[in-house]
This record gives sequence, C-alpha cells and structure tokens, in this order.
Amino acid sequence: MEDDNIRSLFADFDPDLSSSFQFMDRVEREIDNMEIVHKHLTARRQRSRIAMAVAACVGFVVGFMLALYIPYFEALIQGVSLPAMPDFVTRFAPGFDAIAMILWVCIGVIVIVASVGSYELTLSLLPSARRKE
Amino acid sequence: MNREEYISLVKSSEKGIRRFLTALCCGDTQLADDIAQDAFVKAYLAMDSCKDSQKFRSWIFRIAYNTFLNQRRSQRVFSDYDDALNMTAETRSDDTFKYQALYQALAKIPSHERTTILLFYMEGYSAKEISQTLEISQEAVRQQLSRGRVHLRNILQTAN
Repeated sequence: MEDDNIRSLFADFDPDLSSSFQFMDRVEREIDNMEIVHKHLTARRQRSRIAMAVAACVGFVVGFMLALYIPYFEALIQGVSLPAMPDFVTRFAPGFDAIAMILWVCIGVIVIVASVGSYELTLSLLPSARRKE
Repeated sequence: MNREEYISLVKSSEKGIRRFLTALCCGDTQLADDIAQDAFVKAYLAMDSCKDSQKFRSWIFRIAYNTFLNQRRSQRVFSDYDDALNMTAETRSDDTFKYQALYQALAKIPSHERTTILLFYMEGYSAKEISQTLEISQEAVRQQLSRGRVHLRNILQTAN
C-alpha cells in the first residue's frame, strides 16, 4: 500500500527540462575544451620528458669526461698546500683525501649545472603545442 | 569507446540523468543541469573505465550521484529540516508548483535515502542494480529504501 503511494508519486514525474539539443551542445563544447587542455598537457609532458632525457645524457657524458681527467686535475693541484685536517677527520676517516673530495664536489657541481642548463635549453628549443597550431 | 560512441550513449541517457538530478536537487533544474554537465565531462575523461556499454547507464548514474555529493559538500548542508522547508529552487521550471510537495518531501529526507528512493521508484532499478550503481551492499540499499519510505510517509502524512 505504502509502496503504491510512493510509486504513484513518481508515476507522472516529468519535470520541464531545458532543450536536449542545447544541453548536448553545451556538453560537447565542454568536451572540446577538455580535449584542448588535455592535448596541451600531453605535449608539455612529452617536451619535459625529452628535455629530461637530454639533461640525463649531457650530465652523464660531462661527468664521465671529467672523471677521465681526474688524474690530470690531481696533478694540476698537487702543488697547492691545503690546511691540516682536523683530528676528528683523521680519526674517523684515516684514508680521507681532501684533494679528491674537492675534485669530486667540483665535478658534481659542473654536472648539475650542465644538466640543468641543457634541460632548460632543450625546453626552449623544442616547439610548444601552441606554436604548432 | 570513442567520442562518437560516448556521445551517442550520453544522448540516450541524458534525459533520465537530468530527471534524476532534478529530483535529487529538489526542483533546481539549473543546478541539476550543471551537475549533469560536470558528470558527463568527468565520465568522458574516465570513459576507458567503462568497458561494457550495457553497463553505461548505471555507471553514469554513479558518476552523476558522486558529482551531486561533491557539489553538496562544497555548499552549506541543511542540517535542520526546518531550513529545508524554506529552500526554494533558484531556477523554477514551469511546472515546479506541480511537484512542489514532492520536492519539499524529498528535501527533508537524507540524500542517500533520497537517491535510493529515486533510483528504485523513478528509474525502476532493482536493489541489486542500485547496490552496483552506488557501490554499497544490497542490505544497505534495503535499509535505505525502508527508512526512506517511512520518512516519506511521515512527511506526506504531516503535509496532508
């Protein structure tokens, strides 16, 4: 009985909705906008991936080349007198080589700078999606 | 599913979704249409997750319901039923007064009971289909239906 009463409430429920044509037109326009944004985001992600790959390669090559020249750099700065190591350093790291450490830090910095620079340069050289259109 | 297939499925279900959302929004057709728009766009972005076009209708109803819930969370929620009495549709369709008693009754019951009642009585879904659409157990659906019926009966008796 109660079920029938509720069913009868909805039996003739037919609200006055706006035109289906207008509604679908709006939906399709929203979808078009979404696709444009999606295309831009995809293109941007692809450019970023290419730039990261180039940055990784440049970083690896620069690091490798600099590492090959370490004996040469060591010989160059052999004559430079460095201050004496503190006691705690010689106690906990008896084999510590200050010259090698300085060289590797410099190599690391150069590799990072080269990688970041090549990333930015690649991004600026790659055509953007907007320019393609 | 490609865009053309999706649009054709949307065209076949848009009236039902909009009718459902209009009842869920207690007569606010503009809000219902906005929610329907959002739901269809969200569904388009996630259309790869709907592998079976036979289940498209229940899938889109679930998205529409979740979009409705998100919209409600971003607005003030009526915790007092007396506030619901004063709630009016900002955009009135021509026949709002015809269904005013229904909208007012629906506004007074919790949204999850309202949804279950609408899917069961308006859309003709079974308890099993409602549980799949709303991703809740069939027992929960039966409880919500039972409570919703009691609420509606009490509200309509009070109104009469």
